[in-house]
Amino acid sequence: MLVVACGGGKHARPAPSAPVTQGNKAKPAVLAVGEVDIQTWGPDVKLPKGMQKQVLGLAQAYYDTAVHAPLGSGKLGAGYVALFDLPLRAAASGSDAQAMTDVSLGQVSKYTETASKVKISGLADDRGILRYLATNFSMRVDATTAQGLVRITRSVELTYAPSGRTWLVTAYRVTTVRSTPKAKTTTSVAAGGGTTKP
Amino acid sequence: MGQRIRLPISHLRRVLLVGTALVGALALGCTGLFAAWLAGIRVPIASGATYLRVEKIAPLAGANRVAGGPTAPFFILLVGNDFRPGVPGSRGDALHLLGVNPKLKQASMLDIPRDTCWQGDKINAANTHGARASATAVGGLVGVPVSYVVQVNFDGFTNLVDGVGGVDVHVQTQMHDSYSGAYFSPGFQHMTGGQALSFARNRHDFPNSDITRTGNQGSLILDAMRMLDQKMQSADGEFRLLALLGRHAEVDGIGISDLYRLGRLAFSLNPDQIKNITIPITNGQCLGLGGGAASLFADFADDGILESH
Repeated sequence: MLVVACGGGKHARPAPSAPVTQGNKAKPAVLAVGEVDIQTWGPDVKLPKGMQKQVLGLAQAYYDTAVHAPLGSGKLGAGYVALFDLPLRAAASGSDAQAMTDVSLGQVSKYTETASKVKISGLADDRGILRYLATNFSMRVDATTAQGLVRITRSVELTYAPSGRTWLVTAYRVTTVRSTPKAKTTTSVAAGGGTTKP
Repeated sequence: MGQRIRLPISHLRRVLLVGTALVGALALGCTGLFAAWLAGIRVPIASGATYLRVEKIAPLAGANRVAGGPTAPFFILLVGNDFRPGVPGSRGDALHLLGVNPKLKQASMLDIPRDTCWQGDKINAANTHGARASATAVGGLVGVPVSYVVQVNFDGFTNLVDGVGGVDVHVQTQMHDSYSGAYFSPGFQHMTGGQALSFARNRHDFPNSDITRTGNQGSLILDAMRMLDQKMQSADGEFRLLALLGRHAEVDGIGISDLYRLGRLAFSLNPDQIKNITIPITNGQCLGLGGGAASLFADFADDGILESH
């Protein structure tokens, strides 16, 4: 793991990954931390291990509830909506769900999941307190549906802000590409942080 | 005849040691401060690296204003001032009023020539009394409440543009001006901070002087927004830009969360769809409002965007 603070760090895409899982009863892919880059208004800041674990857990929770659970059951996993702060909940589970989740795919008979390592970015204030964190990762699902084979690639950026003792998703950018032997569709959504990109 | 004083060896050694320690400490301190400055860390004694000032203009007590919700239109005054060290006050020589409508995801901008008359004086003079005075003058002229004032001086502007790697500016006409140092051919030009400043200051190339210059400044702002928009398409980019702002901006009444929200909002706007109009003015030393100004301001004031202009 590379920890960089105050202007350092590469502007890299998430490293190609390792976690793979298969089958419709399989456990979800386990996300792992890749690069960490904390920007700051003041003194250098390192991401505490506990906070790193916490935010990785949130990214994992998104993965489990938005991608893995729908592949197995055709439904969102429990707790998906609670990952988001209030202003985002309607969009995350409504208008943006096509890009954010794999519910529209329905239950699939066979699938393979692959996820990249998770890049964590952060912004600390002038006192060195972390005010925003973001996770960035990509994933790929190869699934066999009633309509045939489909490949889904998705790049996910979730930005979190503190809410009490936990962190909630306060903004997101997600791009999902669904490819079948006959067609390819791309859906991009971005919301939060005070606005929703049209 | 003077008497030579011989210091004991141990005393000389002590003096030498203390002297060496002092020089060492001074060198270490200077190196530390320099390193901090290079890293962009604000060190009060060595800072000098404040590029811009962002100020939230709270409504005056008893002001007749309706509080707006998070989706209500709001107005940001962008000021390029002529601050020079040792000269008190600084005039607002570049004045641009940005109206933002979060609900419609749209914005418009009015360019205000610096010589526009406001209450018997040139409007740029208001800034010598501070950001609030400038906000009151421009807001009063147009008929809108100004919520934020962003000020930048020559050095700050230059450093900011250089800090983001320069800016691609669309030059409309040939520029050959020795006063500002603007020598540009028409078309898109990648400019450093110094070049962008020359472009923004050039008025001698134009028959109507500051009027065209003001319009060029507006175009430059939109070109900069286009460029930043590309860099802000990730949380990583947002955090880097905000960190740059945080290290090099004085903020008053506004925090990191406000700036994050404003940044997200600003870059949810499509710069190509931001209308940019120089307000109509008449000739003279102190420029009066020209025909059509009233309807332009009304169009702008109702929801922050220009729909019928």
